[in-house]
Amino acid sequence: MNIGAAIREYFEQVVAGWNRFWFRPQDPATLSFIRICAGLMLLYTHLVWSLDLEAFFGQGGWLPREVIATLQQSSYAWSYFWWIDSAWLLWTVHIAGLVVFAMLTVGYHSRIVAVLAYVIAVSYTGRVPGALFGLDKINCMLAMYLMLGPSGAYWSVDRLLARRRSRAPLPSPPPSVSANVAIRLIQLHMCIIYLFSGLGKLQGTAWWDGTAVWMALANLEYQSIDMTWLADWPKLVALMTHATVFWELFYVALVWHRLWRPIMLIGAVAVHGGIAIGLGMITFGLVMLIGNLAFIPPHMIRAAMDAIFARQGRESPVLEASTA
Amino acid sequence: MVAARNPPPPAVSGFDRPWVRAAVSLLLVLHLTAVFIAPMNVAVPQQLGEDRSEWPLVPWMARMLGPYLDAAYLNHGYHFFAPDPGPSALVHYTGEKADGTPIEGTFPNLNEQQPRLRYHRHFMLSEQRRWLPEQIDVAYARHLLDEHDARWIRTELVTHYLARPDEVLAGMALDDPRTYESRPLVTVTADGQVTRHLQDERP
Repeated sequence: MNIGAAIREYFEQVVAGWNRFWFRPQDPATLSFIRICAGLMLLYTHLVWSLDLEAFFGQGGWLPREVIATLQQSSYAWSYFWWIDSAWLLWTVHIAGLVVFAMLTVGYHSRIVAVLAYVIAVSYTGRVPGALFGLDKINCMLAMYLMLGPSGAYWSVDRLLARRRSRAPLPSPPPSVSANVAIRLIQLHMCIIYLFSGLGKLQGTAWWDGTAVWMALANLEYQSIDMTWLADWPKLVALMTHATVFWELFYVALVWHRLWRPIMLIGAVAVHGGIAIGLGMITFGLVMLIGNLAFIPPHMIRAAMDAIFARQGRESPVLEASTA
Repeated sequence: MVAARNPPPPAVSGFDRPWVRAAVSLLLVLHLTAVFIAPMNVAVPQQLGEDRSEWPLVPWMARMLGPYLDAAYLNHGYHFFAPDPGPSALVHYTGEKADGTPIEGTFPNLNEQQPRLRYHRHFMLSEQRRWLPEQIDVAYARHLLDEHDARWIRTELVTHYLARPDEVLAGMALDDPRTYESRPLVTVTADGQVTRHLQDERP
């Protein structure tokens, strides 16, 4: 083979690999399950805003409009809350947003409410930038990618209504390229998040000398479980610190490997479970685990959901074809 | 029960057309480049001098992609607990109601703000104060003034330092008074007077 043919063959393989990665249809079960989990998280996150709605989003609140406008003067951040002046309109819009998140969770008019959910979630972040943290970033990221695929294909009101309309068993949802694109984007976005989270830690000294996990656990404002007994176990603290950094740095590569993937996902459960339970950030820990669901194959998600429905003595709403 | 689990063949889709694949591929590359550039552009100490214009690629790309990153809420560094976990910032306040009743409190306050997410929102107000415009100190105090229907409110920035393992082993509690340091921020009154106590130290 001459060099020209070898180069051509190489690029043909690259293109074929790219097409396989992005454009191979995928069963939308994983995306549908992420819709349920992310929908619940969006609903809960925004429901909690209800407890202080006017204090955070009202003009006399913690974050007055003119202060945030100063912060965002060279930014393209936006929010429809800038056009809301009265309390009754604020509450009306807020309740409408909660309804959209509930509709996304149950999968009612899924394709439309997925777009609305993303617009709404981003709009909240644009109004209160001083009260946000990682939870809001991942919420919006998941909402963005849910827009792209048929997230209501499984376990949704849309599916139940289609079944009722057809008066006949429905076939299983077909594999979908857009479902694959959405899942691939979540996967890659999670890899970028962990890569830069790990790289950011390399700039500090506590992640090198092994004390960083102590510094997180000894922070009384974060702490939800007293872990100060770890003061007597410095080598264990150092091990947890170094394991966290290496896990974050290598996630981007190892999570794609068939044998390493379960280990990296168990690592995600350990790290985010620890954050949720030990550092009081239950919502953040859970939403990161929801992002990691993108690496669970659809057949495993279906099997788990089948088991849940079977335990309740009911058929999974997607099994009509096989059980009719 | 789970017999016919093989999904049906995919329907013919627009993605089969080469030009659709090319267009979607271009959008995917642009989007993922933006997602990658955002944390790359997070300010870091410059080893080769403060003038970043000499190394223009990432800032330039971040500027080009900035409108998309901002509008889509993708402009993040993802530096969770990095570079190092550090002390907490709290805001303590004192004041007086119209009838002379004293007011005192701190935010965040886990006893008052439940569930935990609600507490965390208030924690972010105090933690991220230093990244917000200078007027935020007055805004916080004015909000407290309204909330308590007070004659005046005075706020303090409280830095809560972390106890070292050897200090904890020696019996120090995480809320030991020696781990707290307070500096006055502002005083505001119901008739509109504002007194700033702390020089702005924002980065």
